[in-house]
Amino acid sequence: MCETCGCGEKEHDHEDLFPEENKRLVEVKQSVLQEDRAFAEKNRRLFKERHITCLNVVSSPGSGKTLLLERSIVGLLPFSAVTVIEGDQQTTRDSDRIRKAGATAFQINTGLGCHLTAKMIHEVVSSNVPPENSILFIENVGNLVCPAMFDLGETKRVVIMSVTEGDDKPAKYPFMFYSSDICLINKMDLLPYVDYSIDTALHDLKHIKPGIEVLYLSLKDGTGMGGWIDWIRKTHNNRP
Amino acid sequence: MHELSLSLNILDLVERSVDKEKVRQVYEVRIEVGMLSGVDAGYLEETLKMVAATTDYSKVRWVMTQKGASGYCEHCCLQFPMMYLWDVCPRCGRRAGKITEGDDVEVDSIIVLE
Repeated sequence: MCETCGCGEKEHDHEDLFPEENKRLVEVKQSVLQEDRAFAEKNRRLFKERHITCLNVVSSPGSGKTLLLERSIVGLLPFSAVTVIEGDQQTTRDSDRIRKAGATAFQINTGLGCHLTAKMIHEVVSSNVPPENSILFIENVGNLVCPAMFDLGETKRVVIMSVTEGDDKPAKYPFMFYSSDICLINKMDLLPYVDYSIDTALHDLKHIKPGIEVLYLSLKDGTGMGGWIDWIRKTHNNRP
Repeated sequence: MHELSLSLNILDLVERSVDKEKVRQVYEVRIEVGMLSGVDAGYLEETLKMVAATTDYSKVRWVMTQKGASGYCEHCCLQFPMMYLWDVCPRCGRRAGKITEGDDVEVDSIIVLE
């Protein structure tokens, strides 16, 4: 049966059912991301007014986002309060880990969603406003595609690439690396055991985003953490 | 699959743009997908059909148009067409200061039946 008109024929053209004189054009010309962008601006304004540095941490699953945050909390707490918003499809495992590390944590479960949105962040920060002059981390859903196009109102976007993922990630997922301000190359302790070329990764990364900053980390043994904490504190002190 | 959440945004936008009292049916929705938006027009059309299937918009024709991208060179004040995020200014060889067009998804227009 034709689904459009319900006749016994197979699906067919219905131009005759909809004469031109009955049609009217409604001009819209609006971005599909308009609402998201408005929430991102609200978040940015709130962060600015309260002197909050918000870091949106993105990467593929398993690259070390949660461990980075656990280690960062330990390094930052002597200087600043730390709040973390965790984004995962399901479970509160990450926010449980963050609370154990000593920071305030909020968990957003996105269900079928593959990324956080500015509206989700706004719902959290407007009812649980982070302390003034503090650091707010957002751990986005592990995914190198979708979170790239959603501005959350963050101060900086931090992308993690671990050496076990392969050196072709920047070339394969350019939007994520293009939209990030700093790239952390993690699991450097495993470099001798994997086929990962730092030169290849850097070549592609700098081709996509010439000005991106790069830091090398091994979260397992703490190598590079000092530089990372310094970078956060410098970013916080120099925020506009 | 961010096309799924964009599809929900599009349905919202269509809902807000038409006066349901005066409109018999939404016939067609024209969507412009920027070449550098990071959105696949084919996926978007499929997810739109999927999310609209149980709504008043199940019979809508979703018409996708790919919109070209352009960038602006802040050194030469030159506007130029872009294919990739990393394209350089054809005059001075430096990176585009900003993408000025083609990095967004827009509902251009809606055709309604009265």
